[in-house]
Amino acid sequence: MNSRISRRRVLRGIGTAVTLPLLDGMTSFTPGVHASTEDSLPKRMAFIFVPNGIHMPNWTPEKNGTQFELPTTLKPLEPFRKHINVLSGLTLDAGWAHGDGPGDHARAASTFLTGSHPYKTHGADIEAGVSVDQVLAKRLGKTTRFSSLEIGCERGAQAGNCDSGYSCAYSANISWNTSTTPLAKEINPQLLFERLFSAGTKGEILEARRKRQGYRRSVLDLISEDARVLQKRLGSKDQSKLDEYYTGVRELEKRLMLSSREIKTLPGVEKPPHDPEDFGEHMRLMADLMVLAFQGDLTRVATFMVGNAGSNRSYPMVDVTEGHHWLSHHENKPEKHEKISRINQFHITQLAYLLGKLEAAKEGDGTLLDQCAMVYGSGLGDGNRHNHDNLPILQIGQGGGDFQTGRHIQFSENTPLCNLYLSMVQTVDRSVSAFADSTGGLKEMATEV
Amino acid sequence: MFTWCSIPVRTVLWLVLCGPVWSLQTILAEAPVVQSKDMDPFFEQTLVPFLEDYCFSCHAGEKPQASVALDTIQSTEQATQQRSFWKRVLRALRQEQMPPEDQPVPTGAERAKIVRWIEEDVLKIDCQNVGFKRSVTMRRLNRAEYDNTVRDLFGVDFRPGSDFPTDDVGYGFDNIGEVLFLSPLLMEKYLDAAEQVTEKVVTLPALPLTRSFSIDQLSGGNFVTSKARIMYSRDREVTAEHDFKESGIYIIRVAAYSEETEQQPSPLAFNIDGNPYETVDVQATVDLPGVYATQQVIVAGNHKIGLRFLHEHDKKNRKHRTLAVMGVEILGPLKRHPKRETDSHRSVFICWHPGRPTHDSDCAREIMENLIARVYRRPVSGVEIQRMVELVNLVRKEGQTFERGIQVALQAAMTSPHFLFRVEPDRDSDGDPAERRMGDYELASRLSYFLWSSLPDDELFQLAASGRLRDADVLRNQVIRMVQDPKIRGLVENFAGQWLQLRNLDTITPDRTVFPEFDNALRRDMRRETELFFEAMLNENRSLTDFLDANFTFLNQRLASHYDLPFEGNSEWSRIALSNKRRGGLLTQASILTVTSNSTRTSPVKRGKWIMENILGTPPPPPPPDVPELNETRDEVKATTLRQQMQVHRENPSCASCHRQMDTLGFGFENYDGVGRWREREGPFPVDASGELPGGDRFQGPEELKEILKAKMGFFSRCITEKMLTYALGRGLDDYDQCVVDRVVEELEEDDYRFSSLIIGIVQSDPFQNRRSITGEPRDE
Repeated sequence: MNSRISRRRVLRGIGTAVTLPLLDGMTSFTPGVHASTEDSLPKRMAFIFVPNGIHMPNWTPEKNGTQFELPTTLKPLEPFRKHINVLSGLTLDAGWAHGDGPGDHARAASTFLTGSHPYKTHGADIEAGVSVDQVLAKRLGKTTRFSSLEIGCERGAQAGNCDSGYSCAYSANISWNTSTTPLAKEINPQLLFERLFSAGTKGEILEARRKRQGYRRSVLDLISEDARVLQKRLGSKDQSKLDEYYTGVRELEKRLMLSSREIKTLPGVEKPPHDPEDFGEHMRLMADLMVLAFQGDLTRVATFMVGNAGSNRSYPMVDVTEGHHWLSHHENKPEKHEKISRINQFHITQLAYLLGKLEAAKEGDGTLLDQCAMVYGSGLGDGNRHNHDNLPILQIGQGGGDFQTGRHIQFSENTPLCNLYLSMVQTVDRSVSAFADSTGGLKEMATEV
Repeated sequence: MFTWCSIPVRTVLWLVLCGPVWSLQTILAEAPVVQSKDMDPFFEQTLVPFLEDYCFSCHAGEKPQASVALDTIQSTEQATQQRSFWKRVLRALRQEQMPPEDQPVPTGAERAKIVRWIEEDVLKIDCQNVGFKRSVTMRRLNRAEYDNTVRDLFGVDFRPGSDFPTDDVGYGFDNIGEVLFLSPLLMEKYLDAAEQVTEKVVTLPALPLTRSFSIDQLSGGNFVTSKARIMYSRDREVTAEHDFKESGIYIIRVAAYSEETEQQPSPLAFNIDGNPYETVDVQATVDLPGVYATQQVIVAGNHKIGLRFLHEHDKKNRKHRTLAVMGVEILGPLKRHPKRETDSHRSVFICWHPGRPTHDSDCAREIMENLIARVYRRPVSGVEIQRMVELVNLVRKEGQTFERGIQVALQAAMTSPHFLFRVEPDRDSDGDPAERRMGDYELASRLSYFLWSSLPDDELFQLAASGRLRDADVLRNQVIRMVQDPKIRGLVENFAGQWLQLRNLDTITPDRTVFPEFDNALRRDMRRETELFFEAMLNENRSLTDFLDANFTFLNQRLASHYDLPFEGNSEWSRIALSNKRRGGLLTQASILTVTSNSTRTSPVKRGKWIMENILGTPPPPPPPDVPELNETRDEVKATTLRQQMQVHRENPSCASCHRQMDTLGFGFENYDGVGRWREREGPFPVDASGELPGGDRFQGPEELKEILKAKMGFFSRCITEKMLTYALGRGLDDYDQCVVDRVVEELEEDDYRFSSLIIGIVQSDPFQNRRSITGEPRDE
């Protein structure tokens, strides 16, 4: 179908796919949909997870403050250094074993945005915590078509064990809508495109899709009633499954209410391919779509899982034929360190591509990047040690002026990563006083007046 | 007399039972050093001295080794609350992993006393008083089940599940209730899929737009604005005149709104040539005008269609209520597409054809009763049907066809929780907890989703309806019938695909420079061989021992030459009798040999681990987090044999306890390369596939190792029973489920390990047949 189309073509297609009224809508929202009090540009928050830790010596800048040099791994971010903070010394205490034995990869992913120690189980009583993106989505996502967007590049495991007694749900998800419900991610760029832009599936034209969807409201009314009646007859665990169902129905109802704000595709626009062969291409396509979703104000919160925890992908494009996870048990061998750094830098190169796209998108008097507050990092420090302190964390973008950027900040040992998350949440809702194991916001992040 | 693990200690000893790692959260961290207060003489005189002599030097105090604190034990009773902890201690003692060799070691008799205490006092379960302790959490249809269910409901070849996000895996399977999450993303896809499926199933009749009347083309009303013809006095009409060329069923559609309705709708009566037909209530307002419609048989000729305002003027309020007509459309005549109508369409529309007169709620009811019962996999209530019929009518009142109405109602059914989940209510209609046997229909679904990954067929539904399905003989015959049905591929693809990790074949990437002949076709062929083999095991009701060593397999030309075996005929699959012991059984199939290899070479560790996990049911614990995996860069492999490198595992005592077994098992299959071909040499070195397992079993090559494994059928039958019970129940197994496993294993032994014994044993087990809700003791049977 759409298998071999040039990337340039796709992007040009997507670029023109976004119709003007919506882009204009960025500053003058559709009446009746947006709260009239909203006079500033919306903030966007995103969280990007990479698996297996980082080779830290090539990541951590030597100097603190603004006069630091970007080390090898971070070099591709040179054009954006004034937009980023390298944050050293942050910790996810919940990631440590705390008596649960092995399973650091599963814990790295499941604590990354939740800050909560996951319950060790193959399945029964799965529990981590509500993730920070979902805390934000509840506040930023009320008026957008998608409360939040969960995307990634790797399908979850389909058989066997994922990590030492932890259900694969812990390794394959970073977003948790409730403490017991992880949110599945979309990994297929074509399906993501169709979802975002209401482009019909399988060659369908928009008009036909509209027609098909005409009775969605009636359908949703009926099934909500089904769920309501059923609820009374279920035990507590089953009820929690029905709660997931309700949440989905409510999201769809909201989508219907906002359908007038739907982004339309133009006829003849080509979609991205289903399953890009090249991993870099895959990452960049997902990044493109995330940018477009922000640009069109389809969502303001996104999570992006570059790989599942413990991913053993090989990176032949940078001459690394061994699996990433296998390499991360590096035994301190220099050649393995070097290969890990190459993978790390490859990911950072794709991040730079994303930042370039965000910067190219104008918004108000500035750029979309200025409106973003993003976090990039891993839930492990060193892949061999499996440590959950001194994590590799970048904070990117000034979040509409709330954060100062362009620095390397060394925090004192064991400063919770959740303090950073709390600071982000507080720029949206000052009434929030804690998140997971936070001990207070990071004062260093705030703009110096 | 039951013990948790009924296998005698002696037969266990050859096996290193490095059991699964579990969480230590049951440990009472704050408890003081042992000061037993009860008067249990064993506790005081035997256990505590043993622990003090052999364990406390490491496993006591504030920072016990491996977080295993043995000084917190206070009584036997307390120990029974920490089952997983004591299971781990039991394994370490049995396999003589602990105490380590460089520490004081207890005598065999001392050790045996403690082992017996753990087995009989701490881990003991009274199977007579257990009943069923845990129920499955409501299971959502997973991707495969969704696709199969749609296929078997409507006979449409359409796999919408391939666009759904991957279902998460728990306990090795993706059909575990608690792990089957429903994200908003998936809910959205369900709605999309329901729309797409129902469009495929229901063929909409052609509905040509005959004529559209603008305001100017209409006549009548009290006055005319630029937007509408307005009526405010009773019995005033707006009319549309048209010369119908053809007789047939027509839909007349009106865009209208009403003002000053004061919550009261304005009645609008359709008539043709003055003959009244149908009255609708106009509730829409000028902000959002509505569409109102009627469907009528009209004979060819000139006719005047009237839209009459039936409002009773409200003198009290003196408000002028108005009814505005903005336009009229005539659509029709309705024409079927008999050629385009699919079998599935005809199976849905059991009483309807477009020539049938209008207002046929009875037919809608008939269709829904037939259809929704199958979609929900149970009889449906009058209320449920009524709501569906109302939805059909709602769609029709907007001027859509009957078929469209059915389509929308079917969409609702396919997004209802009653379709997407396998609902097994825990409370009765009054909301009181219900502990119970499975209902007949619930049992039918448990059976069909277990064996077919799909909904029950007519025969199962009929047996459920007549209440005969629970009859043990009926159930047994049904299992035998279902295994013979081609739909048993559901079990092959989903159970075997995950148990044997065949699904992981999709993601492995053998290095093409080392294995140039590997391609996607070979990948598929490998998987197919194992699937066909598994299917034959089921169909022929073979002994489970054939899984370990069989004298037949399934090959096509490509795979035969891969195996260097003669093959006659074309590329079709054939059942091949094997005379050479080099091939035969799962362990010599290329699928499993490849999925347990690294990209450039074999991995004896992975193969050994695979056997321990999936054949022997004794998974080794994960390595400590900071231990590197074996170095396998190619330069280093060249310099030494893999076996030499692996000596590292033996030298480090923390590795040796598990790797002694794991590596030995794996090396037994070194005659098969990274994609499962037979070989005698590895590079410059001759392959050495000999070994000695802990316990003293020696072997030379895979043929002899298979014989050793076949002698351990107790382990294998227990392992496959546990895996299949997990899959059938959709939940992890509890300690209590060991009672069920023990029984099935016993029955298997008595029946020469026939496959049917396993399936029937599971289907007739307590947890499969019963459901226990919330808390409390199960009801007496």
